[in-house]
Amino acid sequence: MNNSTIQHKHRSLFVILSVGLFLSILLSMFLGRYPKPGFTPIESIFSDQLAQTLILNIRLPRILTAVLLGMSLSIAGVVFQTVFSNPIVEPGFLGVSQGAAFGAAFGVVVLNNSGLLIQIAAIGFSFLGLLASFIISKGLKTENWTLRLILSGIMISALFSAGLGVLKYTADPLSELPEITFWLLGGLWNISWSNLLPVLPPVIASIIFLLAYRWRLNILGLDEQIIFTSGISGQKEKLLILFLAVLSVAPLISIVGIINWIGLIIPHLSRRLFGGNTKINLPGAMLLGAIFTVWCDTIGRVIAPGEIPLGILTSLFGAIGFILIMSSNHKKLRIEQ
Amino acid sequence: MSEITLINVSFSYSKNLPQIITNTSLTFKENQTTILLGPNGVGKSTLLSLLTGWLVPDNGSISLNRTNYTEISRQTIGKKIAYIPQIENTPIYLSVKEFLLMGRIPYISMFSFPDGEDQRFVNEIILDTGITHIQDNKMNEISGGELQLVYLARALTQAPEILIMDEPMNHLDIKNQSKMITIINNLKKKSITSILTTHNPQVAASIGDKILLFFPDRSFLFGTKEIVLTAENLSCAFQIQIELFKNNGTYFFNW
Repeated sequence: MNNSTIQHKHRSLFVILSVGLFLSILLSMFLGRYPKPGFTPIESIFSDQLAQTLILNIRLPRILTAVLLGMSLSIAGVVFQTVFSNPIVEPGFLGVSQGAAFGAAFGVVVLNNSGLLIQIAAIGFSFLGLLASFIISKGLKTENWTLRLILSGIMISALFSAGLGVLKYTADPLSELPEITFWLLGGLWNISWSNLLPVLPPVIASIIFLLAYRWRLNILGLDEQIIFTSGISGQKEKLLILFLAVLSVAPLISIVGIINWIGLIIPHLSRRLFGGNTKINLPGAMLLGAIFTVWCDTIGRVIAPGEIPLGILTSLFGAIGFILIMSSNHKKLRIEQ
Repeated sequence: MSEITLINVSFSYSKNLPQIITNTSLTFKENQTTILLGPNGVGKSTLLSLLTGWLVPDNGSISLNRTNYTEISRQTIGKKIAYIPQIENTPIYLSVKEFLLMGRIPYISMFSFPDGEDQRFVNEIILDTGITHIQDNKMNEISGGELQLVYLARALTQAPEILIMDEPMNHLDIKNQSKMITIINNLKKKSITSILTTHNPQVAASIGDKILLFFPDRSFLFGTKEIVLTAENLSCAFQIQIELFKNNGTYFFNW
């Protein structure tokens, strides 16, 4: 295929995905279990006060959260996989996810289980995880900077998960432990305008930054000496970009809990569809991630009377999707270095 | 039109290790091709890394057109000096052309994309280096020799005044070697100063204006090929018997 047919194909795909996302949002707004499982009639938004509240104040903020969560996790996934030249890293792995999990459990057990404090602790500890990973990585005796960072991320994550274990062990099994467990599964049932709005500024600002930066992101995947001789202070720029990727994700994690697999699988899917250039596959991942998350969440709240946590569905569909992608052997877009 | 000057430069990888470069002063003159020739492990690649600024000397100074590296911004150096590493792994899954466009990075601000001008520049380099037939291929679909040419092309898209190459002839078959030699010789017409390492005296003799010949004890000789590339010097540097035949100014080596 020559260049212009590829470009044409990409453009059509972008149109399809954008329309797909729009329709998904619209459809999801009217899917639910009121007045009966299935479809909420469109005219009820005008005639039925309860339906109106339900759609505008419960489903809409929730769907928007799903959209942003899918976008930021997928973008951050592309960023992490590119910066570390490693296809199996995801946004949470530098101590971020485990830090958030520990923070939330800390909030539940130590800080009297108050919603806001849990959120603050989750954000605080996820950044602490990132920071600790950086600091430890400086002390490691390996020459390769990204390898040092990966190693220290693994260590910090292990420390936090040990701490999480202690908290779970000491948690009240009737009141606190279920809370922690639900948080670790991740879900959007708590979302309302009042907890979505405060997290919007950092999330949207860092998404816009990363979108504007997306072409240059390519070079951070190259050999460090090449980055350097291209006139870039590689380490500084990598740190900045990783920080922004975490900044786009952590505030959302703090209100929805740990959501796995989106940040790992969606970048792979996007590379399959759009190729290796981050200028194209980053916005591709953004749209794919949003659609994927909206549908996982919609299924989770519609299919059964008791809601299925989002984290379970993203893991289920994510893992199945990953197996399918990886076993369909497209040699062309393989990611090995 | 640029030159690099080293004044009393010393370097070792850590305090406990022996110095690789000791109190060295050298000038890589503009518009000349300098060949770093010598056996493995004498510090050729280390010297190149010092020249790119990747490594910083323990003592002494390295300057670009009489300005110390420490006083020049990274981005400015990126516009002046380009570097081709020894290629060990295939870089990511970009197409050749996408990869080449990244060489334009010193000229593109953080939140911009390459424009038509950058595209045209890259197309020109693609023609010059003779890689038109692979420009739409993925980087992991081309051969080792083609990869070497693509790396050279990427460095040229930086529009450098100085080009530093670590073993650019490795992995190349004879045809591609001759292609590479032609390209490097043509760089002089564009006023590009080239500095490259090689193990092969034949390559040194055919393209070097100046030769920096290293001996096993890390001492070196610096000068034109007539002075440096003698049978005795080479035999001493590589520790085997090397014979030299000259025919109409062309050098032939036998070992």
